[in-house]
Formats: sequence, C-alpha cells, structure tokens
Amino acid sequence: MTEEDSGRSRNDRGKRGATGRANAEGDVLLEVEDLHKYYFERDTLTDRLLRREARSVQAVDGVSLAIHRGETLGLVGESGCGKSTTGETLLRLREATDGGVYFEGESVFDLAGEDLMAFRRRAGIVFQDPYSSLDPRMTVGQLVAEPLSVHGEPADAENTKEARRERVDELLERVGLSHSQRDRYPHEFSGGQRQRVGIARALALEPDFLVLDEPVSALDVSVQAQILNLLADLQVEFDLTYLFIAHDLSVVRHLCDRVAVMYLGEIIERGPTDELFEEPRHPYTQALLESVPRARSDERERAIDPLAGDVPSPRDPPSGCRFRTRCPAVIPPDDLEIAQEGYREVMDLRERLESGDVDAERARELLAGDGGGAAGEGTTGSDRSNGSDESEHGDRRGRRRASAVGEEARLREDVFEADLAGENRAVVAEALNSLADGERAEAISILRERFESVCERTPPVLQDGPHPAACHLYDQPTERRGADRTERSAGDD
Amino acid sequence: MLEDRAGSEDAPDGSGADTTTADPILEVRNLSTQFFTAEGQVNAVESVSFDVYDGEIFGIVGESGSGKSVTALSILDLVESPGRVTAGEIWYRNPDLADDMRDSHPEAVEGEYVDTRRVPTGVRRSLRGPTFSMIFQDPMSSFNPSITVGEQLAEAIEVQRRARANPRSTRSRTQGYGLGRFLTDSLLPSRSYVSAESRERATGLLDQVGIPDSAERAAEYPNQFSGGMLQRAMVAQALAGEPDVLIADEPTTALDVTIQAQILDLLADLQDEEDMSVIMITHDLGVIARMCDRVGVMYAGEIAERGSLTDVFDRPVHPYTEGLLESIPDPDDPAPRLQPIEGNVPSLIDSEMGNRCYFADRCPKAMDECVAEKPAEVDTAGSAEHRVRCVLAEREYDPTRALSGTEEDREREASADD
Ligand code: SF4
Ligand code: SF4
Repeated sequence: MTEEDSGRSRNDRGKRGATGRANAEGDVLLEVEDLHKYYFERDTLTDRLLRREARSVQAVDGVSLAIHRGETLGLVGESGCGKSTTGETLLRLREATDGGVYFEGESVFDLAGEDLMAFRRRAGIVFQDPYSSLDPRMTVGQLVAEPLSVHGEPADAENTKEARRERVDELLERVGLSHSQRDRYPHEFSGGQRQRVGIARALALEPDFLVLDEPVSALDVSVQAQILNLLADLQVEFDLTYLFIAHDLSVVRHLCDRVAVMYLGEIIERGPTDELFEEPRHPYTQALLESVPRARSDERERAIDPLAGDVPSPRDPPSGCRFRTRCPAVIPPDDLEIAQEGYREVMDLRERLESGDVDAERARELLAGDGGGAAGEGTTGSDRSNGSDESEHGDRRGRRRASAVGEEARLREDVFEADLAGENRAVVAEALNSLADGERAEAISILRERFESVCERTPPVLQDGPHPAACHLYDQPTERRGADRTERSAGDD
Repeated sequence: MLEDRAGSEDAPDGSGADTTTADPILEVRNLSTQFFTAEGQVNAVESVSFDVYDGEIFGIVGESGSGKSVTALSILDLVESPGRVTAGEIWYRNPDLADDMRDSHPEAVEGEYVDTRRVPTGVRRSLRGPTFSMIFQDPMSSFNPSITVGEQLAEAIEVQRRARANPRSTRSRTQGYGLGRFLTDSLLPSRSYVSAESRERATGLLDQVGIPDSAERAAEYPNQFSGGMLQRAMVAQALAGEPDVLIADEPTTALDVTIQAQILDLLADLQDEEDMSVIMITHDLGVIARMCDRVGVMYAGEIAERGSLTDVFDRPVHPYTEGLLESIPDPDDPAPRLQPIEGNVPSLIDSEMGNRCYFADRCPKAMDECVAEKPAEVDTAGSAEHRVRCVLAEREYDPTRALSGTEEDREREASADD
C-alpha cells in the first residue's frame, strides 16, 4: 500500500540537506493513507451576504504519504492548503474525517489508553508560534517538565523531582539555553529562545517522530538559521524522524530529504528534494519555486511570470484538477486550435462568467456594442459572418450565432490580451451575447462545449513512483489525452 | 523597466545612474525617534540618513526591532505616543511648497527643499496622501468592513480632491482605519459627499491595480475580497492622491509567495507608470533584490550599511550584512548548513546601549576598538553612496585585537543576562 518512493531515486550525495544523514531508505515509520479532514462551518459575513448554506471545507482531501525512519519529509504549500491540518490530524490532535494513519504499522486512530499514551510519547509536535504555544504563567523549567509529569517520567527514579529537574536542565542545555534560565518566564526570552524552549519541551519524552509545524516562520532570518541547524543536529543525535511543514521553500530545500507539495487539500507532487527543486514537474510547483525572490543582486534579471488569480475556496474547490483555475498550462481540447495564453484567458473568462463576476451588464460592455471601445472588430466580424459551422452547432446555436453577427455583438478588442481570433473569438462573443440577453446557462454551455478541458473533467491522480505529479501533462491512468500533450509544455519533462 | 533599473549600478564613480545624478526627492538626515516607556527610553531609530531619488525604489531591510517601520512612520509623522521623533531633518524637494514656506518659515526652506519637520503641523499633514502615501502589511486594517471597497476608495479620492482645494474640510468614514485615518485625521467632521467623478476614478484605480471586472468588485465589501485582492485595493487607495513617494511597509509579508509575486510586479509596474518613488520596507532580502535600486540595512535602530544593490549584496563590508546574507537559505542551493548569526537582537533601551558598536556582541570580527566608541558612518569602496557604520570600512580585521572570548561565550553571556 505504500508508494515506496524514496529510496531508489535518492542521488549519490549520500548526505543531503542539513540533516547530514545517510539516507531515507529505512523502513516506514509513519504512514498516512487517504486522510480526509473536513470542517463544517458557516456564518462568515460572506456566507450571510451570499446566503450560503453550510458547506464542508475540505481542508485535507485524500492525502497519502509515507515517512521513513530517520528522514525529513517536507510538506509545503501556501496558506489554507491543508498542510498544518494534515500534521495535526496525523498526530490525532484533530479528529480525522476519514482515512488512516499507521505508526510502525499500528493504526493510530484505533489506539486507546496506555497505547495512545505511548504513541503520544513517541510522536510530538513543535508549533510555529513560540509566543502563543507556551503558557506565559509557567516558567521555562515548568514548561519543559510538564510533559514529563503528564507521563509520569522518569518513572524509575528514586527521587522523581530531582531526576526531572536534572532532565530539564539537560534539555535546556541541549537546545542552547542555560540551566540558569530555568526559572524565567517565556516573555523574558526572545523569539528564538522561546522556540528553543518549545523544542526542549517536544524532546522531553524522547520521541521518535516530530511534526515541525512551521517552526521557524515567526523568527527573524538570522535566528531562523540557528534553529534550523539545531533541528538538524538534534535529528542526528536522537535519531529523529521529522515531518517538516513549511510555506517557505528555501527552508525546505535545506532541511528535507523528500518534499510533498500540497494545493487545496491535496498532494500534487512529491519527490526527492533536489530533484523536485531542480526539475519540478507540476505547473504549480514550478510557479511556486519561480515566485520565491532570490536574495541576489542579479535577481531582477530573472524573468518570472507570476501566477494569476487566487487560491479558490476549499469550500468549493474546482472540479477536476484543483489548480486549473490558475494553471498556465491548462490543457485545451485535442481538436482545438488555440494559443496557450489565449486559452488561459478564455478559461479565466469562463470562470468569471460562471461565478457571476461577469453579468449581463458586464457582458454588454465586453461586446463591442455601438462602437464604444471597439478598436478592431474586423477579424471576428468577418470570420463570424460566413456562419460556416451551423451544422456543427445545430439550429439553436445557429440562431444565436446569427444574432451574434449583428453589429452589436462584436467582442471588444481589448477583452483579451493574447491573440484570440477566428472561431474561438466568435464563440466567446456568442456566449457573451447570450449572457447579455440574460441567458446565463446557455452562455456557460456554449463556452463549455467548445473549450472544456480535460483538466476540469477529470481529477488527475498522484501516481506511484519516486517523483509523481498529479497533472494531466504526466502519465495519468484514465485519460490518455493528458499524456499526449506532454510535448506542449516545453521543458517540463 | 527592469533593465533600466538594473543598469543603474556600478558606474566607476558610482554615480552613473541617472537617478543618482539628479537631486533626491527626499533627503533624510540624522533622523532619531525614541519611545519613552516605563522601562526607559528606547532608541527605536537613531541618527538615520538616506536619500530617495525620483522614480526609484529604495529598500530598507532589517529584522524585527531594527527600526525599519518606525523610520517609515517617522517620515510620515505618524509616530504615536509614547514615541516621538526627537531629531533630524526630512528634506522634501518641492519648489512650490518651498516658495510658499520661504517667507513664513525660512528655516524650513533650502532652495527647492522643504524640511517637513520644521513646517507647521497642518502643512506637514496635508502632505500625507498627495505627497507621501503608505501601504501596510495588513490590508484589512485599512478598510472599514461595513463599507464597500469602491465607496471607500471614492471617499479617499474625494478627500484628496478636497484636501487640495481646502486642506481642512473633509473627513471620511474610513476614519479609524489605517490609511483612512492617516489621510484624514485632524480634518473637520462633515458627512462626506462623493462625486460621480470620484466613483469613476475609484473604479479606474481598481482596474489599474489589476482587479478584473472592477465595477462589480467595487460594489463588494472588503470581506468578499481575497487577501491579494485587498492588498491591490489598498495599493489603489494609496494611489488615490497620486503620491510622489509611496512607502510600502512589508507590503507582501502576510501574503503567499505566488500572490507576493503578483503584488511585487504590480508595484514595480505602478512605480514605473506613475514615476513615483517607493520606499520598500521589508525583512526579506529577496524582495529587496527583486525590487530595489538601492538599499539600507538596518540594525538596532541604525543603518548599518547602505548603497546600491551590488554594494550591499556583492561587496558587503558590515559583518551584519554579511551574516544576514549568509543566513538565508537559497532555494537554488542545497548547501547543507546555514551560517547563522549567533545571539539575539540587543535591547534598545538607551541606558543599556552604550557608546559602542551595537552589533559587537554578535559580531564574529569584533575588536577592541569596536567597543571603545561607536563607529561613525563612513564611505567605503563601491558606489559613491556605499556607506557603512563599521570599523572594517577603514581597517582590516586583526585577530590579535579580537574581543576576548569566543562567540559562543559571548552569546552565552548575552543570553544569560538578557
Ligand atoms: S492537470 Fe491541467 S490544470 Fe492541472 S496542473 Fe496539469 S495541466 Fe494544469
Ligand atoms: S564595528 Fe566592529 S563589532 Fe561592529 S560590526 Fe564592525 S567589526 Fe563588528
């Protein structure tokens, strides 16, 4: 059941990343299988304004991953992608909606009593915010000792109190603090020192596995590097396995052996760190990497093409590929002749039309009307007027087309930035004309009929293998059309 | 545009850039801002000087507590009690204003320049919006959640419009919300009337900042906007007065990286189109590299080093700049180990600061002279504007004069007694 994807492809650097560990070929320590976590929520202002029904938010939607003993697996993605929820749910800090988590083969969700306590000792978490995750009323010593007392450790000591204090001092020293700071309160510490306290606390029970949930995101860069190095050292010293959750790709490159990239609740690409950074496959991973500004004096010469648009709401994720609303490589139908940028723009227009951002009034504006804003309607007008494809579209469509041929139906020149001409342009104008006449459903279906993408019909799946990407540009089991298109996206492969 | 700006570095005399041959739009000199708190006097900004040229993006980079944001607020005279700008000059080039002020406030005028700190408060405040505008990290704080985005924008435009005619007659319902407040405070209350013209310009501005279907979006409330969209709307709000200088305080820090890339692109395009100057304040050296012509690196309230992008990134002199550059992980480089700066940011309490280099506790090259007296800001190799506050500008590091104790010892000490 595991996708066993780490070992084979690891390169020969032997030691990689800050961890300096030999490899991640070890056995699977923790496995996540088809994990789902939905929230049900309503009543944001937007909901009330739009009179929305309660809807599930699909925070995590079918995540599977295997973490090997001794490795660091990076889980990256932008806010709201579900990476932190995944981390907390697999530790059973949140209840899963569906799916399974197996720690050394045992189902974590079925643990109870003593077994659950044992799991809690062995699997811990370091939180992002060292300011809010530490109780301000407890001293640093108490904070680090707390997990020990909860679990009654050390159990075999003659003088528990004394033994606990020794252990606390040892932990504080190990994370770079001084035992003389034991009786101070968190507010007396800097952010970096507080995160050290958080780490000491997480180490107190000698865990095997730690979820590091954005452990350095709240820290200044100079301090960030201290903490990253500390985490790397501790991993070697205590044989730890990490799930490192981060939004910052640069940090991930330094600490992780393998990386999984999430988008809207799903893992969309997974692979060995160097390979994923050097040859990202999924268009989202590519865009994400490209977007990170490099701290170099020649940075401005690096051409980047930022992704347009926003991450859609997880309440209502797009059909098919969830990235399709922003994907620059979204795949046109096989039989459609269209430039990629033009296709992207048509897809954006469809999105805006379907969401209601483009309404009848707006449609009228986008159509050339009586000359207003119509710079060069020549192409579309003439292409359309021969009405060459009545048979293709049938009578109803033909009539609509006929009315679209009227003077008021031309598409304004500036509606698209990319070149869009001929039949493609005519169909867009036709759809907008329907919308202008108040026939939204028809406008939607006119566009869908011509422009529907495999990316909206079929959700791409994450295949097995060392470096899979959930995208129709790559080997997908059901849809061959995607695979045929690989050559379209130059340099992806 | 990128080429234009990229080409502006590195002339042999350092002044090859067309930007640097012109007179600056803004000359900040020895600016100091202090906070008078129960724990003592905090020197948030200490004797900071820099120039901003027409049509450039000047970056200020620093970690938390470095004083970068307070510097911005000080320029706009937005420092709130218990803080106060205690010294310095902020020379703004504006011949018309200089003419207006020359007779009544001769001490505040020098040629085409006006020292905004020495003109009357009313005049200084009337500069906010039309002259200096600001965008913040959190766009939500700049919008009133119960008024549509378009309406708020139109109000901001209306306020600007009237402020030009009569600087004391308007007030907007966005009062109390960041930019709205800063555009309008001290103005008399009067129910705002928003002209059709302002509404139209509001939609135009939304369009300009890349919000599609702007007329429809203008009718929506801030909560209906995504973070990136709202950031765009805030940029539109800041542009309402057609400012000469736009101060962007961590404008992309709260955004995801793909949205950050959009907003940075937008700011670069707008800066170009509007030919305004931008002061970009950030903790992210990548953002600086992507956006700025010149940069100042702040540490503990001072500018430790400033100069062109190449001065600072390729030939840094100050060990803090070096350390900062080395401690950032690079997504293109799998280097196994980062080089952190040891220790923590010092306290800025006046009584604890002393007459010494503020970085000495963490500096791997600290020598005896570094703590004998505070290093002055001096010229160093590179462009004409490469200046640094460090003894290494004038002499090589000499290990025999190293401060006693290893770095770790000093760190231990520092962390044990802070
Ligand atoms: S499946 Fe289609 S939309 Fe999704 S990433 Fe691949 S090409 Fe883009
Ligand atoms: S003055 Fe001395 S201590 Fe300060 S940064 Fe320069 S070398 Fe380091």
